[in-house]
Amino acid sequence: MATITDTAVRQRPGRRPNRRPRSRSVGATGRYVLLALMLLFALLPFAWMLITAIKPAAEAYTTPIIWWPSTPTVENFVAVLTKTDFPRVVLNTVIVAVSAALISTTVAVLAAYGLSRLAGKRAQVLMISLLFAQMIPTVLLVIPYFLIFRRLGLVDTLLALVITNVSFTAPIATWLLLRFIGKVPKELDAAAMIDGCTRLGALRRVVLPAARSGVAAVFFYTFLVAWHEYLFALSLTSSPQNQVATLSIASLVGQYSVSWGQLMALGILVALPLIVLFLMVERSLIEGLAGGVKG
Amino acid sequence: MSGTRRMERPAPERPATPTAAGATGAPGSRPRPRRRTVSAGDRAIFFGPLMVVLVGMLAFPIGFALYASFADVDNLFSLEFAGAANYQELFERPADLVTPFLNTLRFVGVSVAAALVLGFGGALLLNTTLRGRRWFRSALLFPWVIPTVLVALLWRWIMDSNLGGAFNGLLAEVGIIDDPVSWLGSPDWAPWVIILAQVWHGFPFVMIMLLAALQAIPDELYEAAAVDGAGPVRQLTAITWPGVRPIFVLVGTLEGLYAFREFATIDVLTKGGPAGSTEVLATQVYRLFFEYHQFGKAVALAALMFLLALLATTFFLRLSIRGDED
Repeated sequence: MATITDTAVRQRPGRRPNRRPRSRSVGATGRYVLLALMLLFALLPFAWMLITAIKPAAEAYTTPIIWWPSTPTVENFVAVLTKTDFPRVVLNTVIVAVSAALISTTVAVLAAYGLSRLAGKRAQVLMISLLFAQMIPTVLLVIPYFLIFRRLGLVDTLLALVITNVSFTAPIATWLLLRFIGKVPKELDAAAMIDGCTRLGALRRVVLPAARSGVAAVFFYTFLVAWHEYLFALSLTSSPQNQVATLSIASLVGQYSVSWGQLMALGILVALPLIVLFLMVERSLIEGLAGGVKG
Repeated sequence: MSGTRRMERPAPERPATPTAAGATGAPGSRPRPRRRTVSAGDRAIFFGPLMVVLVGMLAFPIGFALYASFADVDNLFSLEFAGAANYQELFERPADLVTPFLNTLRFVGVSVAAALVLGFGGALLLNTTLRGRRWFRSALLFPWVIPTVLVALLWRWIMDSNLGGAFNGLLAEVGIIDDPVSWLGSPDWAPWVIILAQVWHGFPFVMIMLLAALQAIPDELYEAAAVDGAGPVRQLTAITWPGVRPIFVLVGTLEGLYAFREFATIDVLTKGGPAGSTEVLATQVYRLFFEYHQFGKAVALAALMFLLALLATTFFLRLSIRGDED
């Protein structure tokens, strides 16, 4: 593509072929147009979510459609916060997602350190089983978990959701963390151990701080996956006091007591913190995902 | 012969200090005996938790489910071995399986293909020296961050069957339609709406992976190609494509696996309807088990899904590896 030669050419101005500058300016405009189209596709639904949420009830569902509210309002947000059990639902979700992320990240830190420092021939087998874990259809896991939890009396508890979430976030987390832990020089923890640290001490005092951004990214990723989870929540919990956000949202769809404006307000309340968190860890998260694939 | 004798002699010492054996290779050179050896305790600390997850929380439930698919699960408790009875029951009316299977193929095939095209296009665009590149990248990733249920909810509202729905409203505004189309109520349109939602949610992940792959290709390759007179198209086919192909296949496989097991998008958008036009294998298993209480059929179908995922993944990853060797 013309775009790529640009980069290459710019680094060696002396060798620039004759036609380059022209095709570059044309190419740049085209690229901006294409990117703008992609941005529209990605962001228009968000815009519509926001517009619907700030519309007064009278303008929400009209023919012809009203594209911009005459008087933007926060009434939908107020209604969602008072009418639904939103605070409790968010608290439940945070409990499940944070516990699952904490456990998964801890498991992953230990295993990724082990794989990068102590692994023998079995490392390959472990790596393959991490990938293998991605192949399991969630519905196949739900059934045995449902049967097992019934016997253990764990159905309809938040603990059940933490366990099931960990079962598929811990392998992904390990896979992602490998790159970050692998990048920390082995001499660092070797030095710490000569100074009298145990392996675990070296991991905690030296390796973990050095791989801090990676650990944060993996924590966020597992948190996100657990926050997104729906099928386990639907199958394994039933009572309102154990409801998590995804289940709550899905249960409100199609209820006449809840308007689309309120649903979209709820959507924003759910999406906004996740987007802000994402922007905070974006860089290392992307690095980790990319590294996970390359490794 | 002498080798065996030599091995016999130090044998009594070995059990006492099993870890010292490795260190004796280079005794005086450097004081790092601890680094070279891995004690059983270390192994338990570092690999134990992961093994608990992999064996206890994945392998055991999966094994349990696979066994249950060959057992009598009608009352969910006895679990007596019953041979292939569940599978026989499942295939008694094969026609019931054909539609969800074909729906799954279409859902997975089209959504992965579209996500790959969009994602690769986006990655190529972002892998250039545009101003505001990082801002573009962040914004394009937003759809990936929000929960699937919310994605489905949002598209359900956009595709609402009244003119108050944004898509109908837009088409009416432009003059393409006069009467609202019931996108989610029509068996012809509903499958494409769930694909649209899936692609919107899934393409950013593909894009970010392929962007990383593109950035890993050394600039020198392009420089050399330009010097040799290779044009943009030739560079794309000779350098870019071989460079990203393994990751392209891997990401496509992952996307395919995620789409194959996708449940939330479909459950919230259509619940498998109308008239079963969006019922896929994953939603079918859920319905069989939790709604129709046909436990045996459900667990047998879930086991078959696993088999399908295994076969497809092996096939595509082979493809990826072969691409590496080219």
